[in-house]
Amino acid sequence: MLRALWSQLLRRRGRAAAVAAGILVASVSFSLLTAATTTSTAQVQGIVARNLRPAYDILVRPPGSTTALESSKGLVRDNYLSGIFGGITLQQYAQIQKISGVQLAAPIAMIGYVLQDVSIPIDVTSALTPAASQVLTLTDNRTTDRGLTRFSPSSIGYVYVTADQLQPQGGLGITIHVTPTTVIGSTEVLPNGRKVTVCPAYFNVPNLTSPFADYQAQDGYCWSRQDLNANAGPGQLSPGHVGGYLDVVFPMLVAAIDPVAEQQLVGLGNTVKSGRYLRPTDSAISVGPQPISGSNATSAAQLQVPVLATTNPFVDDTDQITVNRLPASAVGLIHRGLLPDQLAAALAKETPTSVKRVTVTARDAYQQLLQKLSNSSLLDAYWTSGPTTYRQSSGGALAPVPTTNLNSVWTTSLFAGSGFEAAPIDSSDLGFRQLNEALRTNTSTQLLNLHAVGEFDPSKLPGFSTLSQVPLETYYPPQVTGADAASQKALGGQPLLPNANMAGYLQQPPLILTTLRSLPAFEQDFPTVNATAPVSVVRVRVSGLHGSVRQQLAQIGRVAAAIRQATGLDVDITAGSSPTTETIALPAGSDGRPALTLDESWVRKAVALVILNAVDDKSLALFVLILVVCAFFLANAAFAAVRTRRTEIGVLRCLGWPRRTIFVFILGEVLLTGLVAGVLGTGLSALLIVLFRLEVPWWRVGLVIPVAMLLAGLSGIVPALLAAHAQPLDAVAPAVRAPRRPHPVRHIAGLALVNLRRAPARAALAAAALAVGIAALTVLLALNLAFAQGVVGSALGGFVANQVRAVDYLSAALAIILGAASVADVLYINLRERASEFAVLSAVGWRRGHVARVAIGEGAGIGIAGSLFGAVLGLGIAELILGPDLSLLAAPAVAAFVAGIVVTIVAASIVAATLQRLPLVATLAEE
Amino acid sequence: MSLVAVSKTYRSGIGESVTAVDAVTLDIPPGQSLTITGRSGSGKSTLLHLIGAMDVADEGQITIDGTDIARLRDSERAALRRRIGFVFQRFHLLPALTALDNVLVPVLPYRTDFDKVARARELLAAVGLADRAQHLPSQLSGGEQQRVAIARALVNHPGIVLADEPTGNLDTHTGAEIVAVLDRLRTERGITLLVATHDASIAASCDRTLVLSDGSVVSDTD
Repeated sequence: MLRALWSQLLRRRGRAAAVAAGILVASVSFSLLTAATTTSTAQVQGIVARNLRPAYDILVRPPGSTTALESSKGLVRDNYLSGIFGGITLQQYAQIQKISGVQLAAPIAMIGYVLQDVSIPIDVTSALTPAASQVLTLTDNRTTDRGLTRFSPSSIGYVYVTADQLQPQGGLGITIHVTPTTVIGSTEVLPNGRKVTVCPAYFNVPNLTSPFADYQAQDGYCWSRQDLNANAGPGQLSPGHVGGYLDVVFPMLVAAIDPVAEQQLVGLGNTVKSGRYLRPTDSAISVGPQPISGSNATSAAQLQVPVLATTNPFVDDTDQITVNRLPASAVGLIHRGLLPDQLAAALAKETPTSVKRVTVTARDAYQQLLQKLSNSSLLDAYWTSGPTTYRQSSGGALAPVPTTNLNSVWTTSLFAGSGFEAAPIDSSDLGFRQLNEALRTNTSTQLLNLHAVGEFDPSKLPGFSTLSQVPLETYYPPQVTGADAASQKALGGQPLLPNANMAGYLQQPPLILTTLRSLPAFEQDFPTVNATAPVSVVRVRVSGLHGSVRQQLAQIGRVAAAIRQATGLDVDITAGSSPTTETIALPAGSDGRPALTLDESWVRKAVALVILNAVDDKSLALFVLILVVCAFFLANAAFAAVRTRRTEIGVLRCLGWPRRTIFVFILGEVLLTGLVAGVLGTGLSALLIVLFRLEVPWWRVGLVIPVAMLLAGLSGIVPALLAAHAQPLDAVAPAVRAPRRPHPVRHIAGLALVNLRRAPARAALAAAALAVGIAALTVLLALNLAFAQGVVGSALGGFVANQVRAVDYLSAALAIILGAASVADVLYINLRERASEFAVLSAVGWRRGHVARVAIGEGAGIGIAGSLFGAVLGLGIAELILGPDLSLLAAPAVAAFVAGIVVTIVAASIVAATLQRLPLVATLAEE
Repeated sequence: MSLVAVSKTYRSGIGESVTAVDAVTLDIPPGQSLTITGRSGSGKSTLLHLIGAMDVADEGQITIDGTDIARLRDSERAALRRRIGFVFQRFHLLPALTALDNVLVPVLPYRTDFDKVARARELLAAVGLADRAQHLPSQLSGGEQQRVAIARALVNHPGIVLADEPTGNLDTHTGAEIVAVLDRLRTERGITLLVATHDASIAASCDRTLVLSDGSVVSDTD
């Protein structure tokens, strides 16, 4: 029997090879793909587990601070700290610490912005001419937002250099009668002996009429060539150098932390660059009257708050100072004895010649400020900013809604509150946050004073996985980059950074950190501070996590629920989250910055769970799909093998072979083919694993033979049964019967259609084979799309999707190839049985192309029917799995439908080409 | 039409060479009717296949209307086949098409300067099958199927018709009817007719008779 089977296989080696190739492809694909899918699933689980825990597992915010947008989309905004200045009581914080499972609770109490000013020397020595007396003016051009925002140039004063002697006027300890127009300056003794007051300044600094007034324009810096070391101004220029000063008003965000908790959370103490880290015991201390530098006087008693300052302010501001030389006539204006404002106006009318440019960055200014902080800095007011609100733009992006802040928010506590603080010019630009001012009430006898005990470098903070990092706004600004080509070009490929606009879209991270224990000092001097609930957010890390990712997330979930129940605060689980990108449509600024489309890194919650669920669904679906496609392909091949032997089986029945023998014979033949294919497949699998370095366990290779035999056996049973039930007359019946009813044929497509109708069962089988492949492809594409939409919106999801994509592509390719091969197989037999008809068409003068079009037309007919049915079937299955989301499912169905038709036409073209190689006369003679 | 030293050799299933046509030289003037007779395997059908551009001679030259058909490209050979009508012994009708559509098959993919359907109906009427136009081949007798095949051979207004044993699958009476139809149409339409046949009645009705033996012409009589 075995010998007979073997001889049958050899005699029909072409068809046997085709079936064997099918079994080989199917068994190898099944073994390797299912193994690869399993491996890929394990890899994904590993990736998720490795990236499960960011710096903190749970974020606790004041009740109501979670926006509707965050709730509806499962997001945490990057700038969640902004706009939250308190809201959690210390009692609630203590409750959180006591909850079982809370390993660490790190609070941040946002206090507010303080304005600090610093004088930056502008050295003009190199711009001087040999002239005995000369006047230079200084003009500031401030830019920000990567140079996109350019504020109007403002005068920051003038420098007067004279050969004459200068004598300072006024000074501490001198009593003079002061009127509103009393000025002091320097006395210059002219060569004719006349004394004039130069560099005049009002004795009483007038209140600013606007927070953005050009108040520095009246500043004059007078230098005598007789004694260049006699410094003018704040006195930071090197001996022998002359110049003026740029006063920079720098907003600094102050926050209070628990130094111990922050050390445990991110190791903040390890980043201290100079000085020391904050101690748990650090709090505001009273210090007695302090000597004032450069004089014999002393200041009032102070309440000194220990602070830790960042070394990087993350502020994008640049001041370009233009040094202008004025004509000699300007010296005459200096000598005219004008009041300060009159002199500034007169000098502004002179024609300037630009002679030098000096650039001062925010970083330069901040470095100067740090030195000042280490010597303490007084506070008389601070500001808090509200949260940004968004509206949905027409393009789907989030558009921050602009707000207006009245000048009254800049009222100074000095001079009986009748004037304004000098606000940073950046704050005159468009704002998106409501500012609130907290004024010192002066009820305390002590002035509040910030005293830097050390500096920390945020770049030394430990790196967290980029796939699961959560916002650490305590240390970094939000990550915002251009979302489209125009915005990227406008920003020069750089991220957008915060600036000195406290109402701006981007809020700087706290530059100054103090301890929670120092908060009472602010509560004492600034009654508006949220004394009852000073803490803004608490970041929680959970202890004792164990088990699988799902189990760990469940444990974190239980702790989060307990926090919510105990405190009533808003709770977000950040473990298992991943960064995602939200598009921000930032409106154009009022000083030149165009509207920008920006990508801001937010956090998508529960990404880990979504990924794990999606991967599990997809693995199961892939397993089933691969099995169905392979089995159907093999069944089709086995049917084809039996069909080609229809005459032979009929003759055997005529000769008296019993049905049972025919059944065993046919099934045995298929099983033998499966065995041969399995042996070859084992070798092929090993080769593929080595060649492509697949991560597939070797024991999987050993499965190829049993899988091949099993698939062959399963697919051969029905064809063998059909063969056993063949009738003797099948031996003489025509392979393809004529249709029962004639249909008129007037074109080639019509002939193809009529031919399809002649063998409807066969055409239906081919279409069904294709339909299974297309349905599989539709489901696969829909699953992939759903997977992508579900998880790719986050960094971790995108990473995972890339990891599993290779297996997806292999599976999709297999579905298409096997489906097309099934159609080609059926088409080949279909057309081969009617080869003489095609030969007749050639004999009566049809060109090869015309004949091919009939074959391709038949293929296209099967392709359209099979693809349509398959796409609809796939759509139905995908809907069952994923739910009725037509917007999600339509694209995969259409793509699979088109792919089905294309591959069928390609397969039919190949079959048509092989048919055309048949000899015309011999084919005609075959009938 | 002329043939000069045309030969064709086939390789048999057991690897032996069989010379089907051996150095045949012929000259056939337009409008002549010629029967080719001989025993089975004498090369009659092969000679018709070579003349009908369905096969290619190994040696020699076949010229039709001054064109050496060995030099034609594939599409030109297809064009030549449209100018030659072919009637097969086994009819070779397409079973899925009606008699009318079978007659139309040669012109189906082409534009013509005549009404194709009217032409097909006229030919079916000419072969006596006007009332059988909508019948499938399976619904026609052998003689009727061969008449449809003859109509199909004439649909392109061919100057030459090649008929390979046109009565070989028919009984004597039906065969005689087919012979009569062929003869009438040839006379009416001035067609050059080459018929490979064992049928003496056909030979009798033709202008010239060629006898083949082992692929060679052993007799050529008017």
